[in-house]
Amino acid sequence: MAGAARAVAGVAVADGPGRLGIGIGWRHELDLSIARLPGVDWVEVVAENLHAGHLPETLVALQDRGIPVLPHAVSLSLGGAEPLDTARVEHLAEITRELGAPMASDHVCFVRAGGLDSGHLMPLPRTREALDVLVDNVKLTQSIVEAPFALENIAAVLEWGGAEFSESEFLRELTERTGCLLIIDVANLYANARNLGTDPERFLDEIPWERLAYAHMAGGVERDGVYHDTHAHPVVPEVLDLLRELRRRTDPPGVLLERDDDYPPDSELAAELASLREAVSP
Amino acid sequence: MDDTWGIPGPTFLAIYAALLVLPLVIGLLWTIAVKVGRKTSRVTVSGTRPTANELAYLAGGPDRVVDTAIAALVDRGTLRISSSRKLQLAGSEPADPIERAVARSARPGHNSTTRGIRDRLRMSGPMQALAKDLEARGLVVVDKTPQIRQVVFTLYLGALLLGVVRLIAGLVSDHPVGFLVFLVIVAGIATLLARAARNKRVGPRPTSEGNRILGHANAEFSRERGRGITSGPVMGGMAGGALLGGAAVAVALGGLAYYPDEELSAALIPPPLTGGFGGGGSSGGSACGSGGSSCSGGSSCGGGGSSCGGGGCGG
Repeated sequence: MAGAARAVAGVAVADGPGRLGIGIGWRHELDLSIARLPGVDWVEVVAENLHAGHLPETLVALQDRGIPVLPHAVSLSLGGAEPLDTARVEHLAEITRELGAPMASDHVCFVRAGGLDSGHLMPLPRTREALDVLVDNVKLTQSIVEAPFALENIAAVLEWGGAEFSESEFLRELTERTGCLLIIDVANLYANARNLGTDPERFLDEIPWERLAYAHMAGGVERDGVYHDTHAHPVVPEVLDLLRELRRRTDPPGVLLERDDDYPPDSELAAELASLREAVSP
Repeated sequence: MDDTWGIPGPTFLAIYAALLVLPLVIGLLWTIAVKVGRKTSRVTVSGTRPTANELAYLAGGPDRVVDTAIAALVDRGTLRISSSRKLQLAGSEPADPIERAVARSARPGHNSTTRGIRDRLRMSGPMQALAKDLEARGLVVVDKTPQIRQVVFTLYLGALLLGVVRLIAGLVSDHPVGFLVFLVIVAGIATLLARAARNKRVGPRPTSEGNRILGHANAEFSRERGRGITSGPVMGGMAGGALLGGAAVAVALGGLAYYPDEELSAALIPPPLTGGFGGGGSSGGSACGSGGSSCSGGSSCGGGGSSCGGGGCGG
């Protein structure tokens, strides 16, 4: 463990993004709506959907109004066994710079293996070996992206055998060894509890909350006893309850609503944002 | 030397000259008959207040009705417009038949730009029902003119063909054809003129009663604007502040440029057609790349082309 201890000592612990408030995932289809929604303090944008030097006018207009825009990557495959695709990281770094964002992020997962793209965020085996790979890739990413970097827990479609850590232990080790921040996706936490039988309260008890950048919230639907994290349905009450549980343990710097399909009217989006604000207000 | 077809030259020329005057006479008489018939069959107008869609039809025809329904739905939050100029259905389908048809056109997979929806609805059932209703109430005349012009054109085309055939027959049998050549040229010019007249698009027109109602609504609307009720860009969903009916009536009377939110108005107005040559360049494509500028992100861009439905396109 001597090596690990040295690593901890040598890690520069990243500052969080500061108070963000309530935000929404920026999507092209929603651009004019988001500019008109009441109660949007900040937005998060999928980095892969942007081109450096060609930011959408409507996104720039939000920035001009003083609304923070935070990039969120989905394709770095940081848990992948293959060498990190640094071109993707460079792109994220460029977008982060261009947005003047206080931080950038991706997920605790892999999306590519053996040259194939799964099209999904695949869970990592929670072994020391997998953690070592992830830590190396995160450190390399941090050296390229100049802003603080955060990682998000995913909704697992399956669990690998031979786990040496619980999910919260895995995330804690990751933050200690890399100094990275965390995005806690409450809907993913609920999905894992519902589908894999994990204990969400224990997860919330064990997360190093001082590393929290912000929380993700999203809607889903239960079909045949399986909860699907669709991002195309309203946030279910159980996920809102879990956000309240989270709030009992920490005051999250930000909460973000993700909606990716079957967009409801503006009034419904505004109502969801208001319910998130209500759930985390003291 | 036998006469061609057994008709002496001078006799044929006289008949042919009469044939060249006939279509014009028929067209004129028919037009007069329609006008006279309209006067006698005028219906008294009921006193109900016109809806936004009815005003739109009087002010700008079917396309304005589509614009008005779009404005009403965007204002109510049922439709969402993005900077890519695509409209998406965001709520449940509305009850009004025209609004419902517009909303259905904005489901995923349709060419749901303003222009695409106009093209699809121009000749649709709900639009024709609206026109029929307005006609029955004496507010518009569904014009017979296109039909009359088509008949006149067909008659001239027939006369031209007859003349050409006679000319060929005359030449083959070595008859003098000087006067006939002149008349065939006249027939050719008449045919071309009739064709040009036929290709002119004529929509239903408001009657004097329709114009009176429209003028009244315009006056009322200007008064409200004068009082500042509808001025300035307003946040979405709150644009319906005007007494007369808000965004929908503003667009019905003035077009999409009068939508009370400037940015949404700009996204709703179809961009000018570029490179449309020979009447083929309708709808599609053009919307891409504007506004959004970032050319990624899947969804909003691409596709394009397509959808020249409803017979609205081209010449």
